[in-house]
Amino acid sequence: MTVHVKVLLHAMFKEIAGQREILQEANANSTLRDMLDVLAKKYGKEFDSIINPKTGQVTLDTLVIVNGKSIRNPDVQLQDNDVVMITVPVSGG
Amino acid sequence: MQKILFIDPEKCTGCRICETVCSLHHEKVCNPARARVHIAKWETSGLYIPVVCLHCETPICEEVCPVRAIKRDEKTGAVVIDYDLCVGCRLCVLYCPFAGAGIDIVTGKISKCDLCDGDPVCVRFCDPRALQYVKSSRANMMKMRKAAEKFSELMQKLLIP
Amino acid sequence: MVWNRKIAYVDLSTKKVVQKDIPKTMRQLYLGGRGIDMYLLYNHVKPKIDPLSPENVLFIGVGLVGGIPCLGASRCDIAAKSPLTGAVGDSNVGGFFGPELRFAGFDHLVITGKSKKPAYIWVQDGEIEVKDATHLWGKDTMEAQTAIRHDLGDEDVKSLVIGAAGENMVRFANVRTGLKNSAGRTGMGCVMGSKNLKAVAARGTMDLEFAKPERLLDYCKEMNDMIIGTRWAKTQSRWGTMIIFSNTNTTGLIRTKNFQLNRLEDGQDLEPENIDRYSIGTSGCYGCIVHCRHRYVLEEGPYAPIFAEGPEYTSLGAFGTMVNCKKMETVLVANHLVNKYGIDTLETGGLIAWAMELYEKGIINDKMTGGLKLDWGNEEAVFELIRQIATREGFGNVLANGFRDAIAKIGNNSGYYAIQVKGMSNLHSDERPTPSFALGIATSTRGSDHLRSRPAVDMYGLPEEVLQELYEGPVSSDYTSYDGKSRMVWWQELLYAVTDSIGTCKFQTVFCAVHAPKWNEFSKLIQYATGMKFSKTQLMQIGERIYTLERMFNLREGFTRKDDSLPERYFKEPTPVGFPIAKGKTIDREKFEAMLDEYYALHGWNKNGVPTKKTLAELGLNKEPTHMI
Repeated sequence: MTVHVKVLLHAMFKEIAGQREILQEANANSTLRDMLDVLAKKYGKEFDSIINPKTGQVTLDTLVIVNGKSIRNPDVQLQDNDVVMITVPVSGG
Repeated sequence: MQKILFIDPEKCTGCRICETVCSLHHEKVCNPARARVHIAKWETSGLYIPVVCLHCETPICEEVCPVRAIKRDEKTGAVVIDYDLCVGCRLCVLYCPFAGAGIDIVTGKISKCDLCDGDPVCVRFCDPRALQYVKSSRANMMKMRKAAEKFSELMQKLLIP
Repeated sequence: MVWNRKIAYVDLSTKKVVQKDIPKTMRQLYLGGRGIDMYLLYNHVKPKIDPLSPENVLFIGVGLVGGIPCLGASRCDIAAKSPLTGAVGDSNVGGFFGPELRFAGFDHLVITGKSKKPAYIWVQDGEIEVKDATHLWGKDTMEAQTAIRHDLGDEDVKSLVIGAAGENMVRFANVRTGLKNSAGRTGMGCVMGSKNLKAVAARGTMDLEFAKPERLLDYCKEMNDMIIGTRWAKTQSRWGTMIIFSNTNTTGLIRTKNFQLNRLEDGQDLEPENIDRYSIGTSGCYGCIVHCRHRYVLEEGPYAPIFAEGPEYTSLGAFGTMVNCKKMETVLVANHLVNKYGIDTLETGGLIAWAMELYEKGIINDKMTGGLKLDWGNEEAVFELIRQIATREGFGNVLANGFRDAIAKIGNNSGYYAIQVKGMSNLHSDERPTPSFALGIATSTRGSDHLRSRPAVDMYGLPEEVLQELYEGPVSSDYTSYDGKSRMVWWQELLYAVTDSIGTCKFQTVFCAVHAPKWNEFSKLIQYATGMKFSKTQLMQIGERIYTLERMFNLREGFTRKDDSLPERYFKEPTPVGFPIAKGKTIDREKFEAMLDEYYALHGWNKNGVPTKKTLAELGLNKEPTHMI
């Protein structure tokens, strides 16, 4: 069994990956952390610092948003058709 | 190898932080009018050019100085003024084609970039790296690289009908 | 010393100028910039005056640490009674004018009366002169700045100017400086127009002296390193505020077709990275390392060639999602047009989107619009309507006084569709899924507004202990929750009031990130710059003083708790699309009112939003107006 996850990339993540949207296939019981590891291996730079190695959590200047909700602890199981957005917290007007 | 002040106007965002920190470092006040570096701006066409002493290899200011007050600091590569000798005749200001020397509006003395004794404060603050203090070999390579990029853009334009 | 800049009173009717010192007490109570402007506003503007009459007063103020090389300390604050809302009029602008005014020897200008003929104020090294501007009248905002430089023979003159919209007293005309910077909101350009004041020009070469210049320089470097080391600053340096669009549009937090949808489908062309096609580089405000706007060129199209700066996230909404235009080029052209005419991008886009919805619903028709087909996505109609608003022609004149007047003119339940609070348009953000944002736009002292309080960190799902530490009280980390959100809004209101008063940029405080500089960093900067010491508690109290004084101004003008509300649609129409977390959301009226109660209590105001006697005494506001300056 595999699940399919849509990964949307913005800002430097989009620039490095060269695309806005990736379809990622993963094992049915894999977590968000597993998937971020895969992306870190694949793209290296910037992707490898999404997780803070000290805390194991998503760094405070990164946003990993699963189905619209910001995730800090990446030990959540991925579900089929999840939409994961990787971006940067920026605000203003 | 001697380091040089390398200017890349294409990277300048026109924020003038260089002017501010230059005056704060040298004069202990914020006052761009007293800075040794200035961003010449053509706002309506988006052109920003840092203007500062280029520390020429054969400095015209040194040539014209009647009291030999201008010399090179061998350690930093800066062309500097010996204020014990300077009489403030302003010939350097008059003759420099790059506006590298000016007159301080408060002291009336000649004012010019001295590369902050080898650690230029403007360079430290310039995050976009429009101002860099690098070895001359590195400066040459950066120039060549940029030229190559432009050449490649041109080639692409020629190749794609 | 840096706080020793002067205040000048310029009477446009008599051309008389009086200069005075600013007492140190004023600094201790209000810092500078917005703080002192708000004090002046409360003290100098008589209650219930017509904002377009010569009795209105225009205030220009630079922040207390304006001109230092960090945190975007370029900000200048412009205030008056707002001709758009009748409430506090106040708008903050970056660029280069603020520091230049300081170098010219002044921190505050109080501009009264009305000039018979078009005039401009010329400030240079301690001297102020009112000059004739007849030849400048009719020039657009860029032309006017160039002409002033030519006039004065100095390329480094910086000016605040108005364009056609200000001259025509469009109620949301803005004040502009440089190619991009605008004091956009509450119609300060309209007040300038009503006074026949085309511009304020400044050029200065006076030293700005500091208490501890060496430490200040080092600390500025430390601040800059801290800022630029973060991912959010790097992102903003590269794409500006437009980058917000990627996140909010994907989730479903953006007003589309006025308020019909909360996400723009097929909106890929509006994604910020596409600005690279038109950009020749970025551009920074005075002394700012973040340089959050692009210099862009449009070589083709009916308005080409265009060289302009921007656009902001705001304009992506105003001329993209809200009017259902899906092309970046539409936004780039419209951004250029509103800037040229000197008209608020947000208010203009908000009104046009509203008119389009009315047109779709048949509430207005071709006869009323003078043949303008206000169909969704009709970019030509958008461009034309911008021009008509700025010049008060045709249907544009119906919109040129803002929502309140337009609703009265059009009638027929049109007010229901207007997304505005206190007469001022909302940003294109859809706050139905985010109660904290909703409370912020309802309570803002200047009408629907994201820059008085927006607690953007609410969106980041931060651990509750992080939020607890920051806000010093319990706050839910779920952005759809109502818990603790009143605390967030209150705290951010105080922080932004202080930020606007020291003259640094909001993007470099707790707007984007919790670890951005705030009270303690501000305190050090003020100390190194001025020698004055403020604790965190004291700074927060200053924020409270400023915000409460703004509240008092609005109360005096007749605003009440009823005005701290949201458009009906927020309570009635659920968000139709977006991720599950953002879909099907309305604001719960009861919970909203409960948040409002909590929010008033945090400020020390009673249930009606009136500051209690105790609060006034604590803040030293019980004797206002005190006419100290």
